[in-house]
Amino acid sequence: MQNNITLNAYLSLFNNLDDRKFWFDIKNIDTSNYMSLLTVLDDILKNSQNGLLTKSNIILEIGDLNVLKLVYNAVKNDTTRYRLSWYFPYINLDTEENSISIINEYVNSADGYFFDYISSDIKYYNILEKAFPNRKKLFWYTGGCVIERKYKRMLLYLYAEKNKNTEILLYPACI
Amino acid sequence: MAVKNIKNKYLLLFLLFIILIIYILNHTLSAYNYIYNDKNVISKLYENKSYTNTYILYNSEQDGKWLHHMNSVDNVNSFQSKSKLFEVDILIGSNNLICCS
Repeated sequence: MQNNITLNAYLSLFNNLDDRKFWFDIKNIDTSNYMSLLTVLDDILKNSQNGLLTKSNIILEIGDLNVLKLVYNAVKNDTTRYRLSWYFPYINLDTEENSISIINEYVNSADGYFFDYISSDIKYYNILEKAFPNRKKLFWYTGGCVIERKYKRMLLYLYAEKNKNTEILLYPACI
Repeated sequence: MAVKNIKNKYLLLFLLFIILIIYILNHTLSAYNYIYNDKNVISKLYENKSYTNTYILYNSEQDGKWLHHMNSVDNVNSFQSKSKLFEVDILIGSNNLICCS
């Protein structure tokens, strides 16, 4: 990211934060800086237009399950806490046995962690519906313009219609 | 000569039509392949049925349906009146959180 601005400056661009929801994709979180994230974020929220932005309207997306566990333990006693999303990692489906083994390992170990959502590229939609039928999911797609993009968007609409677990879908800019 | 020009015109239109069809098919197949999952993989997956309908209903009341990826300041100005849901990439800095350009 070039010419970046702080999250505080970004939020100040909104005319009104009341009832807005944000999904923060935390790119560089690890076991050494997760508390720093929570401290700074708590502070930003307190000062955001007189505290209009609430924790329950914020999703924190984290890829590492162990870090996700640490974050959950740090926020679980809050009266209103951040929503947590596990970023489902890239899996090469071409290597069938390997991918089945990886996914089944996640299926078996997921109950040891807490997350409100699984966030995933739409290409894993059918896999996640099979593996985690009762979990809420955040689906998104990247790339593609014009026809390909419209086609993917149409699929997103279809999935959203037929599955109540898919509550939020990312509709990206054409890049 | 005039007849030949007309024939060339039709030929050109026909070629453009074929190119358009190929373009549409190519992009449609590409999109389909993007979301296609091997049924052999899916059939061999275990299921984790944790969480109940109560949990799902609880969250359904909390959430909206759509959101936008908003990593540009310009997007905030364009979209803030159209959506209440935004996805933003964040980097943890030394004393602050860095987001958009």
